[in-house]
This record gives sequence, structure tokens and C-alpha cells, in this order.
Amino acid sequence: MTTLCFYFQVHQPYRVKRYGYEEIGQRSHYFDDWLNEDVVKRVAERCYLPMNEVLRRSIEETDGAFRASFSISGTALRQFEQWAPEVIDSFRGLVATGGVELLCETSRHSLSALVNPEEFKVQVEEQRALLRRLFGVTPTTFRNTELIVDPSVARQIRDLGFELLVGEGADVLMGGRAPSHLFEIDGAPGLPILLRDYRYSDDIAFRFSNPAWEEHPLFAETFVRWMEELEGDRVVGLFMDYETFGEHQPADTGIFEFMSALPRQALDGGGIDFKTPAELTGLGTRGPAISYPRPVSWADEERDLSAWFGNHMQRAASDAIWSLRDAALASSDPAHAETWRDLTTSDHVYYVATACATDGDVHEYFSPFGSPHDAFLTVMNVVEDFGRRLGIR
Amino acid sequence: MKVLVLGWEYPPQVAGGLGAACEGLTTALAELGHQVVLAVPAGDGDERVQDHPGIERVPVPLGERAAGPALLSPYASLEPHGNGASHASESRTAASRRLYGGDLDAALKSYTAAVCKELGGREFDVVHAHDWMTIPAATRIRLATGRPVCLQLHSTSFDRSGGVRLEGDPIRRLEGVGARTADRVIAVSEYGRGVIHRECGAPLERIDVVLNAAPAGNALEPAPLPDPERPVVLFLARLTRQKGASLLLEAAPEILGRVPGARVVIAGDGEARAELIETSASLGVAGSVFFPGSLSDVARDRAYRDAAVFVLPSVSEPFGLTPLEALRFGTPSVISAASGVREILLSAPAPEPGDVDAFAGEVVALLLDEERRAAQVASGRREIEGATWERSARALSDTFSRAIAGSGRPSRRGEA
Repeated sequence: MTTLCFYFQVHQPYRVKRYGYEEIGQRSHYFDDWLNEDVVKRVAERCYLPMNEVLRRSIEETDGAFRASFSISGTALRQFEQWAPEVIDSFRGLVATGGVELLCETSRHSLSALVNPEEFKVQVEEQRALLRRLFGVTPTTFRNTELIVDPSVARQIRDLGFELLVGEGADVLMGGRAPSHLFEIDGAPGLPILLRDYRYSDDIAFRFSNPAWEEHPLFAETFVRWMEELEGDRVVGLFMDYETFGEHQPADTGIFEFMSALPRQALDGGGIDFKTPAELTGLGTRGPAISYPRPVSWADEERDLSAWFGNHMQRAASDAIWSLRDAALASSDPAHAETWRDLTTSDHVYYVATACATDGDVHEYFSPFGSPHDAFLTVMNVVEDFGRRLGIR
Repeated sequence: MKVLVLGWEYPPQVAGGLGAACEGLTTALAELGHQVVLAVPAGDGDERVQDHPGIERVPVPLGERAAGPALLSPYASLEPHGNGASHASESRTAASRRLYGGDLDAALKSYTAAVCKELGGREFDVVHAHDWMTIPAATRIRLATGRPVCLQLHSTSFDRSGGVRLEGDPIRRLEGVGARTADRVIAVSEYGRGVIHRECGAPLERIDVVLNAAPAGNALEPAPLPDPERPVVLFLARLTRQKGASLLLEAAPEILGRVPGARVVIAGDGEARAELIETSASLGVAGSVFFPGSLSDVARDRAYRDAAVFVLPSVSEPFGLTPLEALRFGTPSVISAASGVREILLSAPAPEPGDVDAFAGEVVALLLDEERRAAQVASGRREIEGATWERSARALSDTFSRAIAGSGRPSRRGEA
């Protein structure tokens, strides 16, 4: 029996508006409201709403046999509330089917687990409260930003009471094993981890519309056959950005048809079922624990932290942002803490990456800036202005 | 004297500092009573410009050619010019594109052919040619008429490449031909004279120095710093190897270590921008270093005024107008020893290019001492009192006379 476990990541950052040197001391609103509203509305229309409908129908048509999970960043949820409340309603509808699990993450899609455990805890509590308020659920599975995991991160998550972690099944961890069941983490006992099968996930998320790929065009029948041909009882973690559907892979690639057909196709053969991460917890871990030689993420070829800390500018930008924390939280104006927390979103340093080749294209695709250098200068100028307002620069 | 002036960058088409210098000199020649015929590329806005009555402007069409980004921009960008010419000018980018963009070689040929055709038959006492673009035209006029040529090299390929000898560079070769065959060569400083001798092969005896003037305009009263807790060290030039912004970055850790509130502002744009930004991060000073990009005229004036210290750390700078601009706004400078402006601005500290410690030390000394800044501004203003275009034009007239007296040509290499 092959168990497919879908987890979709929904995220939108509060993008920062280009901030010039001459604006320091002049402009205290840093976020690009127009752009952010525009993006959220566009992606809602192209992806979130139609894809939610596809999944809701699949769950209903299969009497709940099709199941999936989501992690929705707090910055995305707040933007939906502001600019596209129908997306919240749509997700509520999905949750109401009983076939959808919501995972927890940091409220700001931040790298706080690596930088500041205290802040990490605050942002996890914020996200828990947000999920409770909007959806009435209390998550038990955790997804750290960009699937970044190492034992220290895992221990923090375990100590916050979570029962399961999701992570990347990177080659550096697997040593030739398949990510086919739950694993224990060396150095963080007591918190099993479910790993992404990046090959099958990327068949859908990246290669689906690539005409140079030998399997193109990919049909649901083919994908289901691959799943059926897998040996033994195993889990396949299909983790991907939710924006894959309709945004990264536009509707005319057939991605919606693929996902509409997949559940029925898979269930008809009898050799495949669907589960959410929490439903796998009962399986327990098997085999030797996995060891982390370094923190592992799901980003870029390297699957390390270089997408956020790969160059001097990124480290300088991150340090600069985090240097404001104490002053921002101590400020008598609560808006300062809010602003600062939205600056901790990982995207702001991701835009400063100077990776080249294929991963560079991915970074560029997401970035609202003309170059990593422009993104960097904006962060530094914002930090200068914010720091002056907070009285520490 | 009847003077044929061959120019390339000239108001209203100004891409950098060259246009302002050519205009200043040419106008002052007319003021002295010389009859000037000025051949410069035709461009938009020519009709809006009022030349001195003693100047007959002959607009030279550069011909039709592919528009495009500047292929060569030895002067393009924001090197400020002080004669207020810019209000009548097209944008610097547009001028730069027109003068240096597209097929520059074809443009040079059009210019040369048109100048020879239109002006080859007229009577002149002397030809005053500005920079490498006019060398082919000057050479041909000299051959055709026997009139002596005075070639002024405002900068050379060696300077613009940041002190690198680009063997095989066609511009360098052209400068060599021009410098070796001109009757007199004019440098804008003693420093520039040495470079022209060494790099272009002109004998020292045939090179005269005509210093540029200080920018016109009233000197402003030195004002207190707008933000004394965060004194600004200002760099304002093209971001190229020549202008030496990397030296300022290397000095930044020392400067910021001793004056923690200081801010370093690196204004301008250019091919070294990305690398400089990365360097600011790798040196750990990015939190105090700012890159505002190219500045508008208004922003530039404000930057000069608000800075505590201006710096010109060039690797090789035949003149260097910006410290004089800064002075007008009451801001003292630390300049490069490899610059011409230090020959006028004797009171400005001028460490050797590359001497990071000395450079940082001089900047810090000024940052920490308001009286020292005021004293240096006062001295500087006395030093530049006589530096007018009139004085430059008189020196230039002497050079013309020398060229005519030796007329018409240096028959043997090395002859004065």
C-alpha cells in the first residue's frame, strides 16, 4: 500500500517597497501595500480559489478518502483578511470537510528558529492563536520556514508541544534510503519527522510543464502508476508550494485537470490511499534515526541555508533586521513590534541572494527588486530609518 | 587671434565635467578678444543656448547611426560641473548616449569629415582641440592648412581606466598620436602633464599646464551640520576603478571605529556599483554605508552642503573639480595625491592613493574637529580666489602664441 501525503505551503510576505537613501527620516511605512494587495488578489483568483474548489470537490467525491494538509503563513492569512477575505472563507470550507489538516509554522514565515529561540516561541504562539481564531483548530504538526530543520530546531518544536515535524528528504540525510516512513531525529528524540519525497514532489511542482522533460506531458494515470509500482508499504510525502497550481504552473498547463483526476484515479486501483501528516503519527518511527550534518531546507539545489545566508549582504541584512528587535519590542508604540516582526519574514533576505544559474532564476522570479543589490540597499535603508525612529541608530 | 575650437561635449550636451570645462575656457577666450569658431556636435536644444558674441558656433551633424546605450563612456555620468549649464542641457544620460553611444567610430568619422569640409578652407591662426574625439579632425586640418594644433587632454585613457595601461586600446593609441604630433599639448595640471608625458609619449617641453578654474557661483556660508551625531563622509563620482570608492570602503572600518556615528555616503553610479555594495557588506560596514545612486542637481547640492567631509580618493585624476564644488558649499575635502586639484587646493590633505591608514586618519581628523573643518574651508577659499577661467584663458593664449611662433610643426621628435 502506498500512502500519499500532500502538504501544500501557502505563503505571501509583506513585500517591502523600494526605499531610497533620500527617504530615510521621511517615510515610516515600509511595505508596498499596492503591490501586496495586487499579488494577493491575483494569486487568489488564479490559484487559491480555483484550487481550493478542486480539492474540496475531490474530498466530497471520494467521501473523504482524499485528504491533504496545508500550512498557511500568518503573513498570508493577514493579507487574505485585508484584501481577499473570500480566500479565508474558502479555506474554512476545506477545513469543514474534515479532510484537511492545518499545520503550524511561525506567524511571520521567519528564520527565528535559527536566530532567536525566544522570538521563535512568540511567533509560533501567534500562529497558533491565529489558526484558532480563523479556523478553530489547534495544530499538532509543525512545518518550519522553508522546511529548515536541524536537531536544535527540532528540539525547540518538540518542547512547544508538537507531535510531528515535516522536513526535506534531502540526499545528505537519506544515505540512499527512501523517505518512506517516519524517522526519529538524531539529537531530538520524541519528535518524529515526515520527509518530503523531492523527486515525486518536483515532478508536479517544477517539471510538470517542462516540455524538455521526458515524461512531459504528465498525466494523472502515469503518476498513479508510478505510485502503484512502489514496493511495500510506504508513505510518499508530496510537499510543494500551493502557488504551484495556477501561478507557477499556469492553468493552461493542465495542472488543475491533473490534480482533479489524481485522487479518483489513485483510489480506484485500491493500492493507494491518502493521509494527512497527523494521521501518520500512529505509525511510529522505523529504522535508524536520521542525522543532520548541517541544517537542511527545501530550497535550491544545495538544500542548505544559502538561499538566505549565502552571501555577505544577506548576513548583513539579517543582522541589521535582528539588531532592532529589543528596541522594537520595548517601544511604547505596538505598531513598531508589528512592523519589525513583518521584517523578519525570510523573503526579505531571500531577495538578496546572488545564486546563479537555475536557482538564480527562481530567486528572481519571486523578487520584486531589480537586483539582489537593490533589495539589500532597501533593507539597509529601512533598518536605518526604523532604527532612528526607535532611537538606537 | 582667430581660434578654431574643436569640441565634443559642450553645452547643451553635457554628459560629465568636460562640457563645463570646454565652455568655461572657450567663453573666456572670447572675453579676452579672440575670435572663436566653435565646432561641436549638433544636438537638441542648441538654439536655446546663448553663446558669447565672440563665438561663432558651427554645429556639426554626427550623422545617422544606431541609437543605443553608450559604448564608451569615458566621461558619462554625474561628475558635477559648476557652471550652471545643466538647466539648459538635455539630460546627462541622453547627452551621453548621443555623444558616446551607438557606433562611436562612425560618429567620429562624420565629425571629422564635416569639420574638414566646412572649416578646412577658412583662415585660422591656431586650432584648439579638446580630447581624443577631436584628434582626427585636428590632425587633418593641420595637414591641410599648416595651422598649428594645441591639443588639450582633459584626461587620458590611463586615468579613466584607473591607472591601468591598456595596451591596444584604440583611444590610448589615438591619444598617443595626437600628443606626439600636436604643436603644443595642454594638460589641466602638473599631475596631468606627467601622465601625458609618460603615457602618451609627448616630450615634457611641449606640454603646457592650463589649470581649470574653480566653479563659478557664490560661496555659501558654512552652516552647522544638520545632524552632528551622524556626520556624513561624502563620495560623489562615477563608481569606477578610477574614482577610488573602494579605498573609501577599505578605510570605513577605521573611520567608523573612531567615529561610530559617522555615515559614509557613496553617491553615483557605474560599473563597480554591485561590487562596492558587496564589499560594504563583507567589510561589516554596510549598516553605515549608503548608496543613493545618481543624484539630481538639487540633491547633489544638498549632499555637498550636508556633508562633514568630502572625499576624492581617485587613483588618477588629471584635475578633479568636485572638491572645489564641495568647498563652495562650505565642506572640506580629503583628496588624492594623484590629482590635479591638489595643486590648487594646497590646504586639503592629499594622501597617496592606496594609503588606507593615512586616508582614514585624515577623514577622522576632520570629522572630529569642527574648527579644523572651518579652517580648511577658509584656507581653501583663499587658495582658489584667483582660479578663474580668465586666468586659464590667459595661460592658454600664451600656449597659442608659443605654437604659432614655433610654427607650424615640431619637425623632429623631441624638439620644443
